[in-house]
Amino acid sequence: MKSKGYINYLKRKRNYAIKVFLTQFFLIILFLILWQFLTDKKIIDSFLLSSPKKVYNTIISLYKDNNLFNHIFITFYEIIISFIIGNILGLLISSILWFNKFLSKVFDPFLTIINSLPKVAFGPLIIVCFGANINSIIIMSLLISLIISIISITNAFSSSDKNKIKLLQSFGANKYQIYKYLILPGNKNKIIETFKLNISMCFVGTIMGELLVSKEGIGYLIIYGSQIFNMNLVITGVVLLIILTIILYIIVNYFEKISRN
Amino acid sequence: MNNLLEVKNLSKTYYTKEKEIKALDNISFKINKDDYIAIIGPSGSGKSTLLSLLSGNEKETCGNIIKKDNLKIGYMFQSDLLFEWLTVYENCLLGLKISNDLTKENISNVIRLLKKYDLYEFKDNYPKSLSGGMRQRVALIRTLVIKPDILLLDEPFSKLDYQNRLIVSSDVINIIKNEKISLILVTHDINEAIRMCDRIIVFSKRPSVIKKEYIIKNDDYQKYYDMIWNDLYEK
Repeated sequence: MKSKGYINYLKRKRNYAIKVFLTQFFLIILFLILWQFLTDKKIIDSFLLSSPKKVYNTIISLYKDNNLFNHIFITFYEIIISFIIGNILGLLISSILWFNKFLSKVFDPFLTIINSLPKVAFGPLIIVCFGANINSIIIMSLLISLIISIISITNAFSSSDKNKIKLLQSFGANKYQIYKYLILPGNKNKIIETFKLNISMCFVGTIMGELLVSKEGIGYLIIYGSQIFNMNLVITGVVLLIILTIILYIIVNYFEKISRN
Repeated sequence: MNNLLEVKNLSKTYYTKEKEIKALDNISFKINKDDYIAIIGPSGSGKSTLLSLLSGNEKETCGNIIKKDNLKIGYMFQSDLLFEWLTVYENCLLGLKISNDLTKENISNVIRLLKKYDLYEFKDNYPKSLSGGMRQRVALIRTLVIKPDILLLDEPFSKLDYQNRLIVSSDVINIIKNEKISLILVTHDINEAIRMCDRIIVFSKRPSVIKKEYIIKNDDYQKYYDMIWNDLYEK
């Protein structure tokens, strides 16, 4: 039985959340109205900065040409593939580096250097090696997400409580058992955090890859739009990216909730 | 044979890039069955190092540790080191899982210990919902389920407040005596050493040698307290 005070508290909390959401929604609507108004009044140039109506029309025409979902799907597919490969490889390599201190010492400076390099510089090299196709986009995305994922998971592994390792050793645990009972489950939250960070890294990598080499995808819409100076297409691309980000955010939150429970 | 373990001329030196640190110097003593030994000394005097050597977590630089055949050693640390992602029951099974010893008999021993020490109803709880004293009891049971002959306690109550220290330390010594396990307690609390143990080994400053050894024969705690205090702090 909930007390009156508690019910009031819950109500206040809910009302507050609704207020925050409505304000966010209102801000977006205000932005769109202002944008449309300023272009209608020719205060800003709709040829350069487009307008909500034009973006809407572009989306509709993309839809009518059966291209809209194709572009979204291709980008989504590239993100998901690089996300899955990046995380599996990241976890695998971090685990190998945890098992083998020597390898970890050897690779440490390489990882740091590769991490600090701007990956886009590898673009031409990747295209030459993997071809002007989807593979290059995935490799570009991996290059960005994998290194960060290895560094953060390896750091998490090596900062595990030394006394807990000692405790397991006092039970006679071997290295594999320490990994199984302590290192992996003890760092679950940090691994999930890295996965979460990786979603945005894969996003950045995929779009960067698409800007360099692609025939389809949202990045392609943006680069193609800029080449033919069709700013409606460029801004439509950005809007689609925002929608995709929201979808990915919802998916990640959903999986995070499942894993917490 | 009553003799469980013998430490002979044990020394341990740590090497770092800058220097070498001699932690223990030529330590010798014996542990018999039903011995309750406290090791007391200034901080940094190598008391925990000795436990690490006895448990086999570290290797000695010189000397020997002679153990009775199949001697099992349990080790409890300064903090309870419970795994937060495992329930109380799963935490208690950890040692058995690692030694691949999850027999029916051992599992019922875990249940018996949990019931006996008032933790059974919390067996499906996660450690974060337990009080400091209960956490220590779970940590103790986790160590006891592997049926150790000797239990090493490394200042296990140092993280508790004064009241809880008294309660938990008397709980722990009762449990250890009930389960007929020998004890080596490392502490810097003279009172705790005298209350819990019947042999007290006093370590000198690093590099530690055994400065003195006391057998607590009667209840004249104040006398022993003064003598040990003098050993530790008088120049």
